Amino acid sequence: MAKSVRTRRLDLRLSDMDVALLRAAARRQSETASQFVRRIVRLESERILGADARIIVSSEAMTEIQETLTTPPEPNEAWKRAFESRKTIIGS
Amino acid sequence: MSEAPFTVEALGRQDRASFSCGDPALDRYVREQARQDQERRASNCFVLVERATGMVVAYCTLSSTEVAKMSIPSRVRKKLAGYPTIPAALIGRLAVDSRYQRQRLGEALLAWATEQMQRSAAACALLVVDAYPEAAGFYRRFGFRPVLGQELRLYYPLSAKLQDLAKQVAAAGEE
Repeated sequence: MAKSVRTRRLDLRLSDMDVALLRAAARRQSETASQFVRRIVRLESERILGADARIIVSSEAMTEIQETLTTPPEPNEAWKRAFESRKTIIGS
Repeated sequence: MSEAPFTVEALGRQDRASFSCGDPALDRYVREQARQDQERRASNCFVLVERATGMVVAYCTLSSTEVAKMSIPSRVRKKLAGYPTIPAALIGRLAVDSRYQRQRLGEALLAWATEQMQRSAAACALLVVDAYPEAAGFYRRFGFRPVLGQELRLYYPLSAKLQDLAKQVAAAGEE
């Protein structure tokens, strides 16, 4: 079960045009406006901070990732099919 | 053994003007921006080319990255155990031309990218993807998990188990 993430509210004042634009873009990506803003703002913030060579995660996320590395999952059937496809489609 | 119908090449002068995966941003990227990103070493773009037609039918971008814990105030940091950064490979984009979708090209390219990263001389412990919303399900099928708090950034460990499976499948049916 996925852990819940603590969130904070951030109030923004946007023009009607900006709201319409971001909602239209979010719809195009099949995201809610909140999901869209969270994703795009994060990517752009990382880029501006010069952090695009790094993926910045919270302490809790880092712990989860470390645990997955310590006990990696058994590759499933989807992986097996993918390697088979790779072999027949792309070859060696 | 007959030749495989597709080949993977580093992005060069291949004709990709007609590439169309259904997402304008992904189409525009491979047509207009991928070369620039490659030249400034931000990411490498690899294209899947159909041998019979010379057409670019899919592409993916790969770059080296590292996963780092967010910097936090020193008074808080003292209370937490120190974590090193984790070397990782990032698949920033992966797209298949609409005319070639549902032919397992996407999964073949994902498997190919995984093999490249595992063969790389640079250490790489984790495969990370920045998924488009409609593509997240594709990665979850393989067991990719979202980074906590970043639902469309998914990761999967590049483990010895995965490498063994790749070798096992590659060797199957060969003398």
